[in-house]
Amino acid sequence: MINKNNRCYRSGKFQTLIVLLITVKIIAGSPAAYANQTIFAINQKKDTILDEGLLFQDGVIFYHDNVVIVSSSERHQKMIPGHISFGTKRTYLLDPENIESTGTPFIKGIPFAHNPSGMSVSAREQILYFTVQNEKSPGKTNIYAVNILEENIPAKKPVKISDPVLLPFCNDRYNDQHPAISSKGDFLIFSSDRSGGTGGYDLYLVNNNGAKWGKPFSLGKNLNTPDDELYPFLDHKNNLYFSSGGYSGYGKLDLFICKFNGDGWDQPVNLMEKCNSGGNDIAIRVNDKGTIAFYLSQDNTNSTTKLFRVEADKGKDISNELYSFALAEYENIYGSEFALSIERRIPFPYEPEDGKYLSTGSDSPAEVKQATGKDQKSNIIDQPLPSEDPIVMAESGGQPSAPEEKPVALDKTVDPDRKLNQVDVSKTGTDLKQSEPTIRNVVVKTENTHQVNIEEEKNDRVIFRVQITSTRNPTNKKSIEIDGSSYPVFEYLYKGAYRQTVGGYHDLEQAKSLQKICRNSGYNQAFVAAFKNNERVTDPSVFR
Amino acid sequence: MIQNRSSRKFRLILTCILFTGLLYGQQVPKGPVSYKVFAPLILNPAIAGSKDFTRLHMQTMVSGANNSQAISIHSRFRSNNSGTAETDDISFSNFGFGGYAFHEMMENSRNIGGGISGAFHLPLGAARVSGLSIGVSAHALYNIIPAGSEYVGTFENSMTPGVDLGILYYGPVGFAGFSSRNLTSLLTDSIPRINDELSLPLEHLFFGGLKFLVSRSREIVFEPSLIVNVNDSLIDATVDNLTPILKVYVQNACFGAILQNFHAPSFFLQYQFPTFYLGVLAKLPGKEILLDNRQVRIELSLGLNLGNSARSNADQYRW
Repeated sequence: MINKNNRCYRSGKFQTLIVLLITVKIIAGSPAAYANQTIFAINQKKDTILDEGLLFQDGVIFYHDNVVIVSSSERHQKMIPGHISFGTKRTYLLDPENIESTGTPFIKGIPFAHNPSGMSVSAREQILYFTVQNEKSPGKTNIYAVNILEENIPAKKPVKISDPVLLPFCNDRYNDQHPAISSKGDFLIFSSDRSGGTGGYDLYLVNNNGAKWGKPFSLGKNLNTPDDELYPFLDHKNNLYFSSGGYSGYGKLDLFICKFNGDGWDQPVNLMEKCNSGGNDIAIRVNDKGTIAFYLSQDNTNSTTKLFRVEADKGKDISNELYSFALAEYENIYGSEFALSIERRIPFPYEPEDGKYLSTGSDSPAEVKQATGKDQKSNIIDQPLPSEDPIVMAESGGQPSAPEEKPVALDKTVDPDRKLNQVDVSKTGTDLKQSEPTIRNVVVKTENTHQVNIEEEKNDRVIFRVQITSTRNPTNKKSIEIDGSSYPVFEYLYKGAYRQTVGGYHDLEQAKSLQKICRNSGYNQAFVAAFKNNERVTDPSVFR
Repeated sequence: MIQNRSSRKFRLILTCILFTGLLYGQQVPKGPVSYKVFAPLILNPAIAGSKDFTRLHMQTMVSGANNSQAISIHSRFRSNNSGTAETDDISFSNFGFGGYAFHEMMENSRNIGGGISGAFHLPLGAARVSGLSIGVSAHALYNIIPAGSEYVGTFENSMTPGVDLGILYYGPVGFAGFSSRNLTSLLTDSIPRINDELSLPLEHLFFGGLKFLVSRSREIVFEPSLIVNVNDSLIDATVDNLTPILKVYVQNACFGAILQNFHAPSFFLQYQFPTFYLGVLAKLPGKEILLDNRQVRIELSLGLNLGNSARSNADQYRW
């Protein structure tokens, strides 16, 4: 008989007492593919956490002084993400000064069957290029484009776009991704694993003459490596950024910059520790004003991805700052001699190899159909590209020019073989001819017994000067005061920019002493340059 | 990597311990309170796969009447057909699955039961953070009449199957669901309904709630909700059919109160770690007739976040 007040079933052997004492923190066993992504920001340093939880698959793009990101819709609700499941990847518009905000949807609706990534926007912000999975060949990515039909960014309203169109040079046999449109929209660089490359993903260039796309061609072995070259980006001066794992560097993918010189690009320069780490450093983007850059850095150990922000000092160009910083770091490691020795411009082919342009979207209905799932004529590829804002033009050509050119820098763990490859003079004979410096102004006076009278320098003797600044326009300064002393200025035009130097010595050590004085006086990027007959000499032997 | 291996081993051991407890304990889904807070899958099969991670939930009673344990798991089937070459996104299909088992010792009998659930989820809206789900569950209850029970000679050990149907809406700021449980009882009278210990009565459940974001920076969310249950023995709705619940989320912690049928207040606390949570619920005695039911009941719960998530912050536990 069971007594309700004495329930034997609950006593003794049936009583289960489980005491859970857990004091250890269990770490999720998530694989590397699912990155824990956080945002960091740097203004010269990387340790300021802005926020956690934002999703950045491929960094940001700049659009009307805002940034556009591809992010999970979970984050952009009126609720914290920890209470939301699922969602999809969408584009959002954010204030670059308030990147941790939730932002507003950038594109109305979801026009893509798959997650858009690797975007690039034309300079007038009328055409959006992006990478997306090919619907007919899952696993293959291609580059599509849409027209931005209607926008009201000040009101934070989503833009309306046309249907996506597969660019005609893409097909489902290869992966084409990460489009980077030039500042004038006349060419596009992208990453592809198409056959004939140097291995992995290589960078390719395809021209657009305003009506047709050309045939893509590789940027060549001077840039591409057997490893991957990914995430190209062209800033408003067409300086080329990209990530590569094929050069010696800090680890995995490093960020590089190739300065645009009007005809092509200089050799890749590792952005050094300003942007690179032991993990993957990818997807750097610079705003049109050249004041802000964002890039992604993936942690080497637990696959966290962080968004970094780099700001230029007021009034300075971020690309020049990053470039100069990298060169300065490089010179600190290898000395100016080696830095100068590898100052070689490697012009890339800028015209289609065979002079032929591919047909437009209207001539390729099958490809357009593939892009949209229905017959549709492209209104992107056929239309002439809009003229863009004026940019600095080189004196001798119609190509956009970069205001400052500097030699190549490698990183602290430079592979000797790679180094030799980069300084291979035999590859650059024509480049040297193209990059001969032009004397703009000669104002050197013999105010110092150690300095050399410029008039004496017509005798093929090498003179060492300290280059302190470079400007877009000539300064015509006669002299400059450094550390309480007045130094005559020697200004010359080189690769589309005016360079200002001080000092003039036959003795390299004296030049280096002046370089030290200049750097201590605020000219952080001062370096020693060699001249013969008042022309810039890039032969490394002159430093020996 | 070593740490991950250790944590997996630890979780496996912990799971085995709780399963061991399950074998010697008892639980019936209508008995304990905490499953309404921590494991609502038992209430509504449409919840199966409503999260973008795999949720394993275990609970046990450690003090008070009706010693019991329960375990439940649910997840969404995946469909790995999305993403670019370098991002490896995982997307999910529209189908979810789940299952649960319970074991309970009551006054005069002992129940062992379990069920499997399947659900179809229809994403709503462009952001796809909301969904409408329809689920079905098939379950069975095995009732054991132990020797010495008052029911000996009256009832025999029996197996009772059952089918539940449910519908659920969930979104960032609210959720609502309706389920009809034990629909098979409409077809058979083989089990006397006069004794709920031995039967699975037809029951209709509505539950709904809203989420109010109080502070985004401090991650404070208020979530009041209400459960309305009506069965064929209580067809006239009264306040006894209502169970209000209030949850307050503050970052990784959740605490709140539940007023079971408006007469038995319970208080609970839940804390989440990156891949699991711990919860405790204390049910104060209400208007109970039985002496033992006047004891304070304490239930412990453990939830594991198994599997991977399509979300980037997979290390962060989510509610």
